[in-house]
Amino acid sequence: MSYTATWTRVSGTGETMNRTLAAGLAICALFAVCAVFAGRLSPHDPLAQNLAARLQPPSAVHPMGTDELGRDVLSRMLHAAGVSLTVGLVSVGIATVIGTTLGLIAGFYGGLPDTLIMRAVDIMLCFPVFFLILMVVAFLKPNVFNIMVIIGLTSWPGLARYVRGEVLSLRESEFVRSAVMAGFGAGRLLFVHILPNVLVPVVVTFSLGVGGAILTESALSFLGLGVQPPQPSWGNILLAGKEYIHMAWWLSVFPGLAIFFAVIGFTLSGEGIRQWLNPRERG
Amino acid sequence: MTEPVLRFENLGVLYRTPGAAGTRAVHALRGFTLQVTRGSRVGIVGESGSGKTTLGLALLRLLPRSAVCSGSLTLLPRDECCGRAVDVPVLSGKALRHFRGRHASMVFQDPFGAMDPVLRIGRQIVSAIACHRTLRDGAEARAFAERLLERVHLGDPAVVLRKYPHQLSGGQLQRVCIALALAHNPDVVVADEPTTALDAHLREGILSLLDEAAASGSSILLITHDISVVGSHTDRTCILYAGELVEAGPTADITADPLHPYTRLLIAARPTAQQRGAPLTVIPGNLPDLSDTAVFSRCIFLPRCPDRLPVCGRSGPPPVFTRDDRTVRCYRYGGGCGD
Amino acid sequence: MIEVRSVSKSYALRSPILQRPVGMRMVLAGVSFTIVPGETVGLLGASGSGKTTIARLLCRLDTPDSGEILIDGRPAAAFTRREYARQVQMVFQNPHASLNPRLSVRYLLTERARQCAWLDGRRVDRPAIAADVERACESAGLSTNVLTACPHQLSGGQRQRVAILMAVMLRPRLLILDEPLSALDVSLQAQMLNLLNDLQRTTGFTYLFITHDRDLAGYFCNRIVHLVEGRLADGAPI
Repeated sequence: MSYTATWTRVSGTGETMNRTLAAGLAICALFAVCAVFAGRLSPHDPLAQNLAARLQPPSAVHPMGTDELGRDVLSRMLHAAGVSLTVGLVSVGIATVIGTTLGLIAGFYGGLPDTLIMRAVDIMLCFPVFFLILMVVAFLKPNVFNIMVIIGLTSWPGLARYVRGEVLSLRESEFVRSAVMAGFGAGRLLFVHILPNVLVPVVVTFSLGVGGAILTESALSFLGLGVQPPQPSWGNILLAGKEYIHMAWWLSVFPGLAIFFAVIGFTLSGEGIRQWLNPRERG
Repeated sequence: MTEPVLRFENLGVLYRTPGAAGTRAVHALRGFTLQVTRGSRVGIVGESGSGKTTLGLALLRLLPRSAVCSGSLTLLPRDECCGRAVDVPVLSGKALRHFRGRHASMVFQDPFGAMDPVLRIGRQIVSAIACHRTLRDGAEARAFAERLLERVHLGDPAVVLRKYPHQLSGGQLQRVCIALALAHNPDVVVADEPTTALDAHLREGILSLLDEAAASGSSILLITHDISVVGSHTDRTCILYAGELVEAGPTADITADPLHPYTRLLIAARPTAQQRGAPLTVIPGNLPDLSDTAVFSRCIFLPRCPDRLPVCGRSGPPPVFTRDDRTVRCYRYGGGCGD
Repeated sequence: MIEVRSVSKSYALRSPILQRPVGMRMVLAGVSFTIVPGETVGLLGASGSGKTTIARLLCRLDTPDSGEILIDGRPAAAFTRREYARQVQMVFQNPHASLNPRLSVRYLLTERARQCAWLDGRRVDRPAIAADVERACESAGLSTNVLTACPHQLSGGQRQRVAILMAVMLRPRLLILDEPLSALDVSLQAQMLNLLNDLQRTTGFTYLFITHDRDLAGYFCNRIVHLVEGRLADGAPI
């Protein structure tokens, strides 16, 4: 029986979907479609300025109105979805890979690697992360790639500590002891016996983290340190909207709703995955 | 004493569990009828899946909310503070809180799981006492708690009160749990496998505490999977299989002369030193699926029964046959007297 | 022949809050006994008598403070982890924790069979191993649809049988059974004991059967080693 086939035995409850997961995945899928097919779906060019039609309220031609330079907000929102999702998924992906790997090493080997990694975690957790991000971004060029890397490199400590704790308790469990006694090597112990049992909380943390990363990216863009205009981002549309909040509510409401639903989508997905993977949660 | 204290009439418990194809209904207990007299000790013997734990939880109203009960469960308390008869399934709120601890209590299998690990023993006992009794001050509470611990023969009660649960051994902690259960002299004490988590040599001590409780008027329902435990510590025994009561009667009669094939196999399966070298009798097959109502249309033990008769597969489930003080659900005893 | 020679083990007692060492608790004091190939030795004692500690020492999960454990005259510490896997295996008490919940039964058993072949230096032959696994299941009275199941879908008795098969597949010199029946129903205990007896008859395993139940030890074991508070009480044959 091949090793990859073992990973399909994830759920084992017989139930493939539950309501939370369905709702979450539906929302995420909606945003994904918007992001991928932004070009096809946009009624206008997101960068095309039309100073004659500045700050128009939502209408048939511009379903979400226009911004201060006459650009169609809906088209900008659709293109911004791609930015937010990419930043969310990639940055949390980086953090998850780093955090899980370091947590596994620290928990499994103990001793010097454990001490070094955990002290690094302690040091990083002392910094207020958002301000760290701000500082770095202020020195480097603020663009999408840098943001992804920064968020990724600053979010791994919490996960590393959590994974280490799980590995420590798994090491004492009887099935891992039994595998150790069978003479299996470290690779098999880590990847076949320990990692799959750690993966459940990691996957859930990933989904929830994407929501947080989207918020962080929006906040950075709102402060002018994230995605720079004319490239659209929900955050920088909000930034523009801040100036005209009394006369152009659509510039604040629509990006706000988009961020809200994107984060909810990923949070529900994370919660749904947790329910799906935990057979004991039932009834 | 032959006055009844507890009456189960056709008690049934249904668990609703979610599954791959929607919700399944598991009939964990069906048609359970029993009358318990005051001060008597009744053993409920069954293996996992027999419904014995469900029975105990039903009496204490500790079943999950998704469980559905049918039939009736009545308690006739010693003092009439809540009327002559208490209908257990309809209790709620204050009446339920009064019932639990004052009229019925439970001793669980794992003493370490039953006690709060971060509170001292003394504090847990005092708060349990204070639920049903007004205490004047701390000194009276402590004195009461010490008397309770003396009642379960724990040496140095004052020292024990100051300890945390993890500082006691399993046997000592189970005695504390029994003390808690007996604190208000309840009418019924349900002991769910009280000695299973303990070493064999501690068994006698714990069970004799329950005997003393019975002698002072609290009836004991001793739930266990090991028929050798009921031998000297119960007056009557009920044998449960897959949610049905298959045999009941005085313990001495059942152990000496078991009627139902399942009871006979259960007794024979226990290893003793005399049987060295010989393979043990095994009960072949597995428990039936209790969510499949088709299995209830005939004798529940039929697939695994070594003594089946042609009539067993053809007619419905066997009715209850009574002989002297014993009841058995088996077609072998159709005549009503003798086999 | 496996020999436990004058083994002692103590653990430090620590104060509750500051964890300062306040004394030593002697769990085992000069315990010696031997296990001859093919026999079933019962290790009888109450909780706290040290029997679990002896199992841990024999599995090399811990090292004795003094004394040693010898396998055919060679100290247990001298074996590599791989070599030792062929010497001693253990079946744990709790069937709910002894199987990896994320792997199928077939994978768990096949992994062990391949490990055994690899440790022997034999070539890993997939069809032969698959056949081995299926034969092992049948001999334990498990139907083949157990193979595709995950541990949480099995009952306690089935899980314990899988755990026994997993330990047995490595063909160890000594199989330690740490109270393997205490979490099971009486009728399942009978099945398990019959299975263990069959395995011993067909393959000649040596068992160290740890229990606190005297009747059970009397039925199953050739010889009983009785531990009382870390010391031997008697090692007389039955």
